Amino acid sequence: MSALLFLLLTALAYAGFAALCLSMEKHQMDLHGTARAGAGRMRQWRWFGWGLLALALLVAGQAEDWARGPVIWLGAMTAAGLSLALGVLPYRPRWLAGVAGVLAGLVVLMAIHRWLA
Amino acid sequence: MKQSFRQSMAWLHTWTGLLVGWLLLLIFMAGTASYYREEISRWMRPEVPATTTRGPLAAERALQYLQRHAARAESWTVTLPDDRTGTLRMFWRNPESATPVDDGKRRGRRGGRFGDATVNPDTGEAIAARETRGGDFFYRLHFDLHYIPVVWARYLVGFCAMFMLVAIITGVITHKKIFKDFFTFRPGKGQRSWLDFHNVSAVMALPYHAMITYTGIVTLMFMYLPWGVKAAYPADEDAFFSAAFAQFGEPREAAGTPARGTDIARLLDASSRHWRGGEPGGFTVHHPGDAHAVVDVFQRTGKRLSIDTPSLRFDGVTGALLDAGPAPGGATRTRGVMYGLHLARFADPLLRLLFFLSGLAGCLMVASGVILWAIKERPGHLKAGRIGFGLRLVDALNIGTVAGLPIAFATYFLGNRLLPLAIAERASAEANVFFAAWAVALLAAFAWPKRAMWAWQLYAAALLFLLLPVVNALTTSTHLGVSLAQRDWVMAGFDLAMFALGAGLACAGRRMQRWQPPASAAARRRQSANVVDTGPAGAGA
Repeated sequence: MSALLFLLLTALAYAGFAALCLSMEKHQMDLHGTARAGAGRMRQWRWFGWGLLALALLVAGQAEDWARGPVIWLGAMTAAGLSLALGVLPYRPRWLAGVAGVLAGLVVLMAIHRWLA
Repeated sequence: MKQSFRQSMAWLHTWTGLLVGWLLLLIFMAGTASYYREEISRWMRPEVPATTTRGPLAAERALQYLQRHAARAESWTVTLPDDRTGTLRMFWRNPESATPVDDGKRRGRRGGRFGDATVNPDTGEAIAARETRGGDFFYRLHFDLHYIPVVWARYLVGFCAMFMLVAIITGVITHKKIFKDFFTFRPGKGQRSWLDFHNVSAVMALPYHAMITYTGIVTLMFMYLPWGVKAAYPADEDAFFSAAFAQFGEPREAAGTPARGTDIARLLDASSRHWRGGEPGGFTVHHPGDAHAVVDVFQRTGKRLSIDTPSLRFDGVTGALLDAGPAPGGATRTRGVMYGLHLARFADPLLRLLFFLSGLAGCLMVASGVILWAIKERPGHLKAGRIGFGLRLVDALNIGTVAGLPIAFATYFLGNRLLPLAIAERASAEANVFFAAWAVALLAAFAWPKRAMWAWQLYAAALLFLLLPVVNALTTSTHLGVSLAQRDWVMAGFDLAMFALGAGLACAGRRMQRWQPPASAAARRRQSANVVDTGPAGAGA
């Protein structure tokens, strides 16, 4: 597994979990209070979240192989899920989406770096 | 028994978890460390130089060494160097007649029935390194424990693993809001926070926990459930293993006439072509130097999940392929993949890191579980005015293992650097250091199972881990100043990981020391009426 793939899978898993988090009533209440998203928007978050997690599995299987791909996928979800639930959400809840953005940015930077190299 | 199903499951979860919790923590920590078995072994043998020679040239040097030092052996087995272990590892079996007296030790150092050597593939010379078991100590500790007969230890570990499996299943049933609380961790709220943490560390790594527990039992399944094999192969259990695992049988008898062996490089090349690029990881030569010599070449684990790797049997003189081994059946392959998932030898450095992190999550899950029991129990005891025997026992065991085991791990590594190199039975002395440190921590915890003891033991563990890179710098020439400059990521990574563990333990110690009992509900209401709500971020402080 290359560093780029590792970062990409972690970013996808984190973003997927962050989206699923935003699709949940209680986290919407905690994060946005009365300004929380409506039912339609929350359903979109749910689909988006599951979509990202599925995409991560597809990327892991295609980039490595279908024996180790699912193993890597589960590992990346564990790492991303633990950082989200034990780190970002309780201590820096406002950064929930921002961290996903930073991870995505890092993936792009690393991809460009590799493409140039 | 008018309990609901869920209540019964909660009861089962609590008591299965608590009964084996402390031994389980030792097993989990040793297993997690074993992901870096080779790297730990390398750090613990700082005399072993970094090497560059790989493949056929390394194999030729191995054979030259064996011809010089074990020419009369019945068989030679060589493990080729790779990126994790840069040395040639080899052992040989001496003929029965050449063994003077069986002193009861299966593997004598030299001249016994078995001999072994670690050889530098760059020079072809044996490497003299300090006597240590390195990472193998944790690997064996994980299922053989220590000081007690191996068979008992494996039954004990299997018992713990079965309880762990029950605890995982009942835990999932007990966790009513497994989806609703999927991301929920509310710090700074006493018992609620511990339950949240226990839940999150279990649920986020649930695929790992279930896999590692189940496959752990699978690794020793023929020992735990021997009756199937005994019924089908009453006379010869070995026949089952050679049939089920597609192992080669005994090689042909020696001819007794000497002959020149074939070129090993050619055999490795032929194997690689036969496997369509699969890399040879090692080989065994039966009857070396004989006209009936046979060479078995084993494939390296590589990217395959399964622990069972294919091997090829060649004529050791003509180089002709004798046997490609029968294809294993479905049951064997299933077991091979489960076994392989448990050991994770297929993992490259980053996937290995993910396995290690999941293992740490497992350690934290077990630790938070046993602590949660004590926290739930405490209010009742406080109300009664005295801490009862059960809670005192659990408190002491909690401190002595959750904080005491890190002390033992760090002391084991320190022992490797500080014990004199010349003492007899040095490898056993290192293991004794581990258990001596753990015993001191446990005794101290039993003598004074109080909050202060938590803080002091966590601080002690932190100090020992932080000292490791320093002591390494003072006693070896493979410290961070050198390893970082040479980009030796195994040595540098070990020292940096020790810093990280030390820093983490220091934070935990500080929080234990500064902890204030949470205010009563009434006091909290008064406070929140006066202070503007700071949101969830404020609650974490």
